[in-house]
Amino acid sequence: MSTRDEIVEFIHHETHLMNAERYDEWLGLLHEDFEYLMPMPVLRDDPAQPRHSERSLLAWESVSSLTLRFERILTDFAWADRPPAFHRRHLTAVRVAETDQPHRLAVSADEIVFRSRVPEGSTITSALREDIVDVSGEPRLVRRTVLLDVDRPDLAQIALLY
Amino acid sequence: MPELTVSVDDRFDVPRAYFADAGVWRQELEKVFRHSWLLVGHESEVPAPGDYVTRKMGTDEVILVRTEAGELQVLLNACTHRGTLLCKADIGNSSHFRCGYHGWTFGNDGTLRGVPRGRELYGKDFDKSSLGLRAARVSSFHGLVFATFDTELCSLAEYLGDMAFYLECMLGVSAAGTDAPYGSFRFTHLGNWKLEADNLAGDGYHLRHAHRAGFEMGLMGAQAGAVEGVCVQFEHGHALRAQRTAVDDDQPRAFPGYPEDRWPEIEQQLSPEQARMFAHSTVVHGLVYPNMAFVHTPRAGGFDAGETDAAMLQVRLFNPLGVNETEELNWLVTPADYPEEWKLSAFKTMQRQHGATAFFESDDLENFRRMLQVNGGVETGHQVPANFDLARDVAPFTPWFDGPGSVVGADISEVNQRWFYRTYLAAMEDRA
Ligand code: FES
Ligand SMILES: [Fe+2]
Repeated sequence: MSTRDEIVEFIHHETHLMNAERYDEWLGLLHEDFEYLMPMPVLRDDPAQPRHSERSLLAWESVSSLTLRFERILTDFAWADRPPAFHRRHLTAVRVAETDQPHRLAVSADEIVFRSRVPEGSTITSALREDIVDVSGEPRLVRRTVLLDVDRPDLAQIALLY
Repeated sequence: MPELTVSVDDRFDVPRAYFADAGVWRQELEKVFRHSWLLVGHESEVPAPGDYVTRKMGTDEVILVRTEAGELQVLLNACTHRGTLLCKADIGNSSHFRCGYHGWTFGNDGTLRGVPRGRELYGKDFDKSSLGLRAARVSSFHGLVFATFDTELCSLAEYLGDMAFYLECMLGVSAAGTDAPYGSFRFTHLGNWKLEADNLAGDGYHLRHAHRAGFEMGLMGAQAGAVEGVCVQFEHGHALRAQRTAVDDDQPRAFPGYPEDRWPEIEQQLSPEQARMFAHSTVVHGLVYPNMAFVHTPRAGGFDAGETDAAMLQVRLFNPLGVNETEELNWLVTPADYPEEWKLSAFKTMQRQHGATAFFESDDLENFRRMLQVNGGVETGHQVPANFDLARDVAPFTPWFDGPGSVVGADISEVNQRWFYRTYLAAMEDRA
């Protein structure tokens, strides 16, 4: 069983690989059942109601769909990524908690994602990232849910991975 | 209304100002959007009395609501007192809408119900009945809800006209009707709305280049082998493009992507010519003029092993927030009574291939926004950027079905784009 410090380090490493575009290595940190979910932000009148939809997911990726996503970037025809965007994820307040499942930890982090690309300009997007990490062996990401702090997302904010 | 005669020799230009000038955008809203039936949502988004979603018709804020009596209403989302936005949420349920400024209260049918201290301050002859919210004409087509504030415009059925033949192929396969099981997806992006209309109306030419990565990675399914297709134009500016697969009349008809036990129902729901058209099409996409598009792919598979084979129908709406910015809404539309896992598989395909975050879609949107970068140029402004000459002289092939509309036997052609811009320019230049 990993210590909390090791899990925090794992999350920082994983985020660093994404920032460095070392996607093959990043894929290696995913559990085979990995799911990447981005629920649609929803404006409801009542502040007690959830701010994100439970059924409408803007993104729902798996290991195989992410693998294709990264393979595409390597082809000569990934027009939306040629030239590539500048992007960087900044993490803060990484928290580790038990879950009711053995060998599964809940990790959350506050995240700021910076992205810049002509002609869309620069966007700074804040999000809450909620992960489930499997710690039965080497730590592996089992699920990542991205809760955007944006009520009307622009494509420039959602077209990259958090 | 321009005549429905799309001559292949019909040469015309679309000046760059139409994609760059904010004044053009205001005129479009007046001349095109105000006089069209506009998609506002799907009936399943507001199933119960009081359910509402807020939407835009062009730049007008509206509320799509199911009244206490169960009727669908589309109300202008602006208080009739001082005109402030009435309902600020995206979604909710309420028997009434109360204005945050002076507290006027409207029933969800739009009638003005309450005016704080009304009798005392406005007198006993104050006529509340003339101060209800403005209601649009509302009409549904297989679950899709359309609205218009134009009282002169023909009925929705007449507006869709022969396009209904093809829309029914996708929306009418189940006797139980349609569903939008995952709600709506809303996001903004850079780019002029007409480029998206143009692309989705019938651009078969860009596929092999803009989406080349998709072909190279083997993601294009039956489209990769498809060689022939049709472009179809309809009155009021609508257009559709369909690619076909091989047709073997000795084989029983199949509907790839649909559960096999539902095939007899599809045959029953559609006319024989509709079934023939639909069964042998790979991708079908098109434009319901001016700003609704759809993409249907028969064989999908959300890229994961062991997934249910499910066809995908995405309905898209693009509202111009300005000459350079578009607000887009997407829905997955499915037969209402199909299994959950079928809907889920279709949903994954939609989001991974054609959704806002999908890598496939990103290459289209990249092209739309790159036009902005050159719009400011003076020399560029004098250059007419739009060439629509494609497939003026290709030998037509005979379509595999007998369907209505102006059916042109050419898969890769700009005949649909010419038709879209001709209809659009006629409205803009008051020739409609
Ligand atoms: S503006 Fe709505 S009550 Fe005055
Ligand atoms: Fe495309």
